[in-house]
Amino acid sequence: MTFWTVIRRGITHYCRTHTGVVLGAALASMVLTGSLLVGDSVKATLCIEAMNRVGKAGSAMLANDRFFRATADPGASPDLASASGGAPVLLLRGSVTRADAAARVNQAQVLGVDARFWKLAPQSLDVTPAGFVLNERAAQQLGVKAGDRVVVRIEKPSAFSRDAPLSGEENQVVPIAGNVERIVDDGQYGRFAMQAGQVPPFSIFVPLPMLGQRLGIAAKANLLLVEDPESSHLEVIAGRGWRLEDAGLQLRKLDTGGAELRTDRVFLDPEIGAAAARQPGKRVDALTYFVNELRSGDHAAPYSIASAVDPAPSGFLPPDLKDDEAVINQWLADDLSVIAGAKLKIRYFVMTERRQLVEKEREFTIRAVLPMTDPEVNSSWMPDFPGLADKNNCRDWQPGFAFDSTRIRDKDQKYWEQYRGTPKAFVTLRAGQEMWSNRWGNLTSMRWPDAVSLEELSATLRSNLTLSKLGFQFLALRAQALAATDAPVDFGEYFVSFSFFLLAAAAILTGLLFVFSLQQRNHEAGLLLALGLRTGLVRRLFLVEGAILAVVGALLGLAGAAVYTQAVLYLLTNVWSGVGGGARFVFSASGTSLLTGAVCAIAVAIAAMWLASRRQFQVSARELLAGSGKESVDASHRQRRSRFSRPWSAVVAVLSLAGALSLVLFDRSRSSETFFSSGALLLIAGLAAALTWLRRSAGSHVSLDSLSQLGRRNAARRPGRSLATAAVLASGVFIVVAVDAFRETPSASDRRDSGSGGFALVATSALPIYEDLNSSKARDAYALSDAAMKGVSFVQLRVRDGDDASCLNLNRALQPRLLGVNPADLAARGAFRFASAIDPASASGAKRAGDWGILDAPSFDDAIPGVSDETTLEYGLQKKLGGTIEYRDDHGQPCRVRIVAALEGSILQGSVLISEKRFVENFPAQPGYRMYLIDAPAGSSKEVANELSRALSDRGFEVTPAARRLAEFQSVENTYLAIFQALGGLGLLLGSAGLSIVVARNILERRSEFALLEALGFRSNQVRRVLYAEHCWLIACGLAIGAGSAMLAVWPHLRQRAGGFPFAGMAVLLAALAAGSLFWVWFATRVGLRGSRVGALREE
Amino acid sequence: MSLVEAKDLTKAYGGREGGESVPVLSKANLEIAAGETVAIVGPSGSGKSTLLNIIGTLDRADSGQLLIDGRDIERFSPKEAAEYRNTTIGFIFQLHHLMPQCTVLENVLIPTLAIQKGDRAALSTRAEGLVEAVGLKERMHHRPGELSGGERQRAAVARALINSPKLLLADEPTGALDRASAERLMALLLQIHREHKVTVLLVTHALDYARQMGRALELRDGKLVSAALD
Repeated sequence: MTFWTVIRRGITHYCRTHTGVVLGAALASMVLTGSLLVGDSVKATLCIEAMNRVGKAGSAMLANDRFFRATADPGASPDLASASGGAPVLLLRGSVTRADAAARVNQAQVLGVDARFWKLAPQSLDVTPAGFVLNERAAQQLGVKAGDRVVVRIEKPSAFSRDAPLSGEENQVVPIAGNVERIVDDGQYGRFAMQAGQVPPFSIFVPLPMLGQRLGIAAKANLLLVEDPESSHLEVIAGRGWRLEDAGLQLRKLDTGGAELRTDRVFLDPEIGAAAARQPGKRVDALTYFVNELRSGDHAAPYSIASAVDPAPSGFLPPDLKDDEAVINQWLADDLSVIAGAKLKIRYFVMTERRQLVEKEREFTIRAVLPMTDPEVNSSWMPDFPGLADKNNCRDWQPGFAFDSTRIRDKDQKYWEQYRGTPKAFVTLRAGQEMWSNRWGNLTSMRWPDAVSLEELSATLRSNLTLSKLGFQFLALRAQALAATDAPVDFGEYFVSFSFFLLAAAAILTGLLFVFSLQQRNHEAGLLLALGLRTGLVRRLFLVEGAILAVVGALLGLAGAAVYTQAVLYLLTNVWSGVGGGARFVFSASGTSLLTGAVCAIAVAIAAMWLASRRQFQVSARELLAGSGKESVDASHRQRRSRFSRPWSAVVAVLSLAGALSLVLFDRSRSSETFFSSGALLLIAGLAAALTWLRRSAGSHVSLDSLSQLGRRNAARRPGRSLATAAVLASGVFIVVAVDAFRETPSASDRRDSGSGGFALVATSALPIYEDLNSSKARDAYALSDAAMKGVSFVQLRVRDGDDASCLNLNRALQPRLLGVNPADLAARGAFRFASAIDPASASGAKRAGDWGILDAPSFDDAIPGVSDETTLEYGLQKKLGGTIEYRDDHGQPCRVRIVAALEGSILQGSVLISEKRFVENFPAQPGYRMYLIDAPAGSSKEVANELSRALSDRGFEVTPAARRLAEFQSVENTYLAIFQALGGLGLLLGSAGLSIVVARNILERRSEFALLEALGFRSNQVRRVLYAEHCWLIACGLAIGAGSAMLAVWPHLRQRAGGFPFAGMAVLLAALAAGSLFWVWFATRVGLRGSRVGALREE
Repeated sequence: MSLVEAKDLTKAYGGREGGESVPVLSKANLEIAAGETVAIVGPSGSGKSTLLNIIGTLDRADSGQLLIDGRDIERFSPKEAAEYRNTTIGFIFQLHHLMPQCTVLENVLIPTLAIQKGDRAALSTRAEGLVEAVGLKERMHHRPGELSGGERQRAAVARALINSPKLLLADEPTGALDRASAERLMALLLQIHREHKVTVLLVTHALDYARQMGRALELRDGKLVSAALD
């Protein structure tokens, strides 16, 4: 006979009694482990998705708006792809339609790829496709299969931004039709994307040679993927192997001697100018421009080339040429009938925001006239303006703005034929730069007139430039993908947090049932003590028995955890399929989570049993032997503790309430921590107050005038038991009520301070739109119906692609999407509502009122002020106001965005907004607008949406009602809430189960008492009334504490909710909860009081 | 030398929260020599069980002195009290208080669990001997639920003897038994007294059984006086 024998015998003998304890521990284990497994599964899913997304590619070089050499021909000169052994890709945006136009994908990722790309796929393709390949999502959206025909529309890439002046022909959309050769799944690179996202993009893969050829950029790419995960290695290789043409630069010998640096991007980037300036020797910098008119008096020459040249080193301009002087060629002098000393007006367009052209003019005095035979009077000054340089007839020019070809005279055409782009006028470089500088550059060429070898120049440039400075980005693709899987919301932690009250309920129930079991075995404990076993030893004996039960329960709970996790994953999968994705969550269970969950559940159960059983062993063996399951324990304990514990519980109640109220009233962060802390404190306060009341009632000498009073006094007979029951109920009610209060309901979307900003529609376009859609010119250009567009206005946003930081993406958003907006557009409308803001110029982040002007405010430490949605800030970015996000701008320089204001839940979720002015300064390579917030007259939004979709279909324009977009975000949040509410419901179920167990236990323990009542002539229903009164009080107590705590904890949220406090909904919910609990009391009472109890008197 | 020596023992119940206290023992004196058998009789509520519980350290006197085997048990720490109960005292209760999940033999061995060291095999052999001695050899591996009331109480007697106590405290051990079983139990107690030289203090209502003891005391008005059993 050993202790283990006693324990073993105890477990087997009382196995039925122990079932409840085991189930309680199992539930705790299921909830805890299940929560951790949800975290494991989400993480595993993100990892799988990340690995499918990047495949075998370890790092990448992204050229943004540049195109580097990439030929598949092994005989060609070595390019960056062959030097690095990587896969070149043309990564573009476009739209895809079915050949019969029955279905379309507006926002498609178009990838020009070859065999090298497919080799990097997670599972390499056996045969390199020669035709179109679609990913599953695109194929599903289009409803196509292999062999079907689709048309992909892509904007013809420009060497430089379409936002730039003289960027040539606009909106050149190239349609490419072809048959779908195959459809690839996630394992075959169907999920390939540069940004992490829960939902894969719509992707169409086109053979690289075909795509390059059709777009006029044959053998070029803008993305390079390599297996090596070290992006620094790729940077070194690319740094060694790049040539000037990879950066769009050209070096050429000039007929006049010397060499010239120019670019197919027309304007030389400032970084390039700075690097070239390091070449020693005389240098002539020039800025050549296409002007609208050269006029002197009544004579004018339309549409001409003028150059601004540094006069001193030029060798052909007067070295002392002043900034208000011009030198013209003989042809112009003849045309205008002018000689030196006459005035010359140069009229030219300047591109302002939104491609608004403003015509300006500047007057010069003609200093000299150059003969046409002057060697420097030649066409080499003119850069290759798109839409100009390649035209034979100048009436065919397409300079990129409204060009009036009727102004072209025959002599102008003859000049073009004879002299091409020979400048007709020269001004000083300074004067020219004052007129024509723009954010893309202030030079069109740099010349070294003295004999300089191109090799030497090239070496100078390459040694003073890096690809990073040219805007190339080197990305540790795999590392970033894995870093992004470190989800901003740790689902494990989140579910554990929300399961906290359920866990508490399970623990209380476990403790309660354990104590019931102990009470049933009081005589055993008393006997062991009487036989000389010490109290600690006896207690350990029972606790070891309980611990074994906890282990059994925890192990059973692990099986339940798997089911629990699968159920949650099923719900999560439904969320993303509901918002247009194809996310599939995989089940994953790590040993650590299983162990942690089980160990914690065991610890919780043991702690609950330890706490609950303390009092059992504070009474003497004599009392235990005499009481044997009766109330001697409680009575004895009460006697000893009452003088101390009554004020103690009252003090706890007051302190907890004070703490909770201070959190609710003064902590404006409204974070989940505040909610949980204040909620827990309020629950403690309520329960401590209830305990105080129960103890007062137990000691009171109020007369018993009714059966209800008898019942109420009975509730105070065992304060601990009653409190535990009320606590379990309150925990469940707390979660159900609190979560319900958080549930978002679609608010009136026409209100400017609502999440929709009062906009009727929100739209995105795959291809940028350069014009101001509010202008009649743009509406005419896209043939938008005046009738449909009446009263419609747009807020247009520039987009720099980045990670989706909304709740639709579970990955961590390392560099969220940036939106450039004119703050005045939103300020004028009073759109959206600011949740909080800080002074942008303040290092400490002093609070201030939020308004859109904050985006234009000067910012602290050169960081760009940014605004984000509060959900994005808290969960997607996991930052606070004042936090910064690191970007690299299009000049290759690091730039930081500091979040200075947060919007309340809005359709802008997932992005960071900065002012358009700062956007274009830092990201000039991101052309046009790709997002639109649209105001439409009431009732016409559908018509407007249809018209826009029709007219702008080539741009991949996708319109969504703003209310629906908001609802999509809310549906994700609501699904989370539904899951958490289900946890609360489970807690309530536990509470109800606990209640019925307590009722049953009370009936069992007090059967002689009820028998006596019966013997004294009470009818059965009267006896039941006593029980109802007793337990209804517990229900009322649990409901009041749980609901009251929940409402107070969520009060800051409810106070600011657009829909106000949901009184009616809450009342219905509470009534339902009360009805459910009452049913269990009724049920337990009916079952427990069946038949006559008079026999119990005889047993006494 | 007396095994039990109680002087002026006083004990009262109630009176903690302003209520009236009920005196149970009022300067009660008792002296029991080693090897003696003593019965204590008295009406219900007279304090017989209280006295037994005080001697067994399951309760404490409000005042007075109680020496057992020359040791003042009122000064015992809880640990000393537990050790005392385990090694010096053997309890037999009105109800058997056997652990239903354990067999008869295991129940008898339960007090040995409090002994840190010991020859478990020897204890087991001793337990078997005791079970045999109380006439339950055939029932050794049965559980209490499979025994009659008398058998359960005999098992309790065997359990009380396992650690060779000097003093056997029997609190109305026949109270829940039929007459035949009760007589058999009394015979067993006397047999044990003879064979094990153990001192027996019996609390009982039954004067017949009190007469079988060496002397009988009556607890009257909180004091112990010689009982008139005729």
